Amino acid sequence: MIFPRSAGISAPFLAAVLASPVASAAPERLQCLLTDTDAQSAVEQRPLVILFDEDANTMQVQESGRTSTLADVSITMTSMSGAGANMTIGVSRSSWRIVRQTYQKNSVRTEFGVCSLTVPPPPAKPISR
Amino acid sequence: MLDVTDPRQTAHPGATARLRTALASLRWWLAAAIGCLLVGIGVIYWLRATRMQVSYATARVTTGIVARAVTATGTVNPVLTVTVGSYVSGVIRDQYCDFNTRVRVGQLCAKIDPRPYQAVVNQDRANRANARAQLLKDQANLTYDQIAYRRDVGLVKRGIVSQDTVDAAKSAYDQALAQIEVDKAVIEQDEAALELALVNLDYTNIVSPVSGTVVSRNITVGQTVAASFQTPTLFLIATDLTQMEVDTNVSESDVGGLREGDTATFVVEAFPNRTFAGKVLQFRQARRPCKTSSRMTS
Repeated sequence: MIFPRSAGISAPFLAAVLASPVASAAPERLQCLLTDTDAQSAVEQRPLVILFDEDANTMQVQESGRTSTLADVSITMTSMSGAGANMTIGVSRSSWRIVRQTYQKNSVRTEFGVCSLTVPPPPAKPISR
Repeated sequence: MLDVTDPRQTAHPGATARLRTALASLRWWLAAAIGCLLVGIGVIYWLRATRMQVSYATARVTTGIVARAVTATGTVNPVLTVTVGSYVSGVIRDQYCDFNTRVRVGQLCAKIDPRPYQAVVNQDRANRANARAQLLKDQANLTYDQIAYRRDVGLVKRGIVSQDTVDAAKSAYDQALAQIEVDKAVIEQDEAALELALVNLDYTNIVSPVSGTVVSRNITVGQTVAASFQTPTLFLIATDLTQMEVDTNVSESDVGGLREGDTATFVVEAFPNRTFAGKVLQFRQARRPCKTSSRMTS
């Protein structure tokens, strides 16, 4: 793509603006590792991926190849939370710690973990004439 | 050289000048009178044109109930709001709930730094293990003292040991038996301390006791919560925001005309053109601050 010189805007500048997160507003990705505290063993660790879109106010959970969309999503500057059929997920945005609670008939199973925000893809390479 | 002049002027020059002056004055008076007349006519026409038409409304005379309205101001609140506090002190490490978050029973909303309480748990676990080991050790001593006592009982019959030796062995055996009971009590004590430490560790999880919506958050990450004499309020959770009530303050002169179950309407500043309906639920013997207005009709 070639930008006209008469516009007075350089091509690298436009490419950088179009590739910025504000312009794209793509869902962000959290890679988490949950530990079952009830098991009293650090061996039981499960990976979890959370896709959240702050603008659309949506959260998706990917685990073991399955993707589920959460309801009652609340994304603020300090925390994120959402609920599934019998579980809730909360994320503290200051530390990216996560808690997943699974609600059974007479008990609640709690799993804590730590997430890391994956780096967004690099901006598009500017094309120079 | 001749001097030619008008004979009339020459005859009465002063009278002519006075006549001219009188005529000029008469013209001014005449113009002013005409002007005043025109202005008066205009004012009369203007007043007639702008006069309001009087209309009368008529209605048939009937009998009926006279509605009595009592106006008061109050606050609109959820019917049930639950205060979530903290039983233990510490630094808020994580916060999982915020304003407008929909929560369910048992959902974790915040986490106090558990490390001090986890250390107490570990210490109490070690104390319990130590007590159990002490019990095993004392059980071994008991076994030895029992054997020694039985042996001395057999030896004293053959005259090999003195009666004092037998009595000393008996005393050692009885003390070993008592020590077993002491060890069991210590184990129970350590288990109680461990249970208390686990309870305190569990209290570092700030969970929602009801299902509802978070309407207030009074903590931030890193804040120190000191649960001493007064339990700090961390969250306010409204159970059902579709059920609201107006807490209002009715003056003493009006409250006598109200009854529970009376119809009520109220308006809020956010929606000034919308009237909400309700009914009088309860009369409380407490004063409340007044903020918004409601109108009750009985």
